[in-house]
Amino acid sequence: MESIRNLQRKLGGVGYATRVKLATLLLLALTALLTNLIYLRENRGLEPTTAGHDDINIYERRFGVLREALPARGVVGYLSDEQEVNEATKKYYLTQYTLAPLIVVRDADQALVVGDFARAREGAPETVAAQLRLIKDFGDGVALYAREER
Amino acid sequence: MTAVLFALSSLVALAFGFLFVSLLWPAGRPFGERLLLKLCLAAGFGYGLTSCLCFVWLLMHGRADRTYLLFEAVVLALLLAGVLFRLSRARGRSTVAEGERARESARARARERESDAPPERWGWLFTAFFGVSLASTALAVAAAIVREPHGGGWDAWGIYGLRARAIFRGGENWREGFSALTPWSHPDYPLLLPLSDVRSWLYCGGEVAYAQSVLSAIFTLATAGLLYSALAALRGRAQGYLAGVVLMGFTTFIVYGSSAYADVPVMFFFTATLALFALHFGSGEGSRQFLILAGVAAGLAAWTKNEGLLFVAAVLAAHLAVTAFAGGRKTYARQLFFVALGLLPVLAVVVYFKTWVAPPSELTAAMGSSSALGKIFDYHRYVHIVREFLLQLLYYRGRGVNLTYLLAIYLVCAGVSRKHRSGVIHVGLTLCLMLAGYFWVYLTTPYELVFHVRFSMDRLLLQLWPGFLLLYFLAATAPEEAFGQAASGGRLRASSGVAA
Repeated sequence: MESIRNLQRKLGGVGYATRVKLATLLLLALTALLTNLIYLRENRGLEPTTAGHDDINIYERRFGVLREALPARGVVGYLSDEQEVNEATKKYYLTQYTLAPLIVVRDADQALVVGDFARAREGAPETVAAQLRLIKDFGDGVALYAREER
Repeated sequence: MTAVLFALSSLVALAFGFLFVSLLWPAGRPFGERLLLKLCLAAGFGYGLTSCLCFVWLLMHGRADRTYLLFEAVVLALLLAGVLFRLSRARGRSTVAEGERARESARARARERESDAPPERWGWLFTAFFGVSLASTALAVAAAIVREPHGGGWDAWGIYGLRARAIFRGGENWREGFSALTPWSHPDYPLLLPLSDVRSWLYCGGEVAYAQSVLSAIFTLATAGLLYSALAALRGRAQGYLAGVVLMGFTTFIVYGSSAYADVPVMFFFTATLALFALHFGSGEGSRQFLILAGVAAGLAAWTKNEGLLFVAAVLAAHLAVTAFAGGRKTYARQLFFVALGLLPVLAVVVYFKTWVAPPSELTAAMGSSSALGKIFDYHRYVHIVREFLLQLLYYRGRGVNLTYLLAIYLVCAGVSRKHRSGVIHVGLTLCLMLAGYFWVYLTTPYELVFHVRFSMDRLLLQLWPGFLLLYFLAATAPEEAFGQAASGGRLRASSGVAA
């Protein structure tokens, strides 16, 4: 109580306008500071279960062996069994990111076509499109197809 | 070992930037003057200029390999030699001027000690607020990097990370990474971020997942430091600290801090350009070096994102408006020469990339198409864009408190200062032109408007946010002035009351 009275005595010597300005200044600075600290409190967790288990790491692992089987450069096709539009786009982007510098196009009209069948529990399908032949099933829903010449 | 090599790559970039900034820093001032401002500028300039250097090396050498490091070391040594030569020349001449400056700064410190205005008595409080905010931001960003080392969204790896991999893994065929077969990955986007990745991977001897996120974090913290130090130089330390605390109080700034998006470096370069112009306007005629540095910063913004090209146009138009009216054509032409001196070399790199390496931008192509004309006459598009702009500004979709209202209240209470009129007009005009440019892009976008606005508007506004805070705190009366006036006004009123 004594310290509050001391502060009141000190502020009593300061003009009203100064006190208003000081109050708004402190309000602004404190609100900004607290918002920052609250954000840190909500987001400080390192969540070790996600580190190393994010989408990119999963794709790096799944497509690692396939990458070695593919040529170092060129264009390959891409097929997926994903139905949901956003998820399908994300999977295609992840495949391209993983297989760079190869260019991955989202169709089956290429000599080599990468299959991304995360939902296939019994291995990659033998035939996914006309004229495509399964070269190798790498497991975990990853497969490589080749276009058959007529 | 990888972490050590990565830290080395960052330190070399910082040294590169520091030497470059020191070489161009206004003559006749002590080397250690405005050290934090120089360091913050150095962080951005270092990464920006080394990525330009890496691009030049790619064109000359034909592939990204470790021989680049030798090239960088040679350029670094040349910069060091330039700085040492400049220091040795300046040493003899500046003894008298330094003595006068030392006396002036001692007088200023004495004035600070004698003053009993609240912000000067409570200076430690502002320092503490800023320090805690900075530490908290750094921790939040570091935690996000541990959680998501590749970055916080698709664009981080789908655009910039992919381009970096294509160049790094592509060897002699690095140009194939700019294939028009993958237009969704925006192969026309400039290369500051991807080549900074490549550069750090060359140091480390292999790909490092967190490189891009850490780079993003460095730019985030450097932006906060830059805003503080530029305002501290122009408006006093309390104003600088307050601006920094407010900037870090907007959680969107922290969220994107580790995102590994190019919006973060571009935000830094926008702020740096505007701050350097403000320093020029605040320093008078003898500050042509600030103009050269501002030109470099604007060029690096264009080397980071396509929005940077719009920014170059906006900042030059604003400079024309401010200088030509106030100083006449001769003054303007002289100043433009110095801006161009910094801008053109970097812009040449951007133009070469856009002309000879990257495919045409689909956004720019669509703006000139006939379908764009139909969009201009569709008033629903205007309504949607304006509504989204206002919603972002008034309701603030980021997490935490919207500080915009408090900023308005504070401005009413503290008042407006006319001290940096040219700087204020320049920054304000640039921001208005940028907003008009963004509006035009949305109006004529080839993408679905709602989708485009939803996934980009917060980032576009974030790019301009530190610039807006620079404008705000340049214009708002600094706490030292506000409380000084009020205190002296209070004493006058009190003494007149006694007399009555």
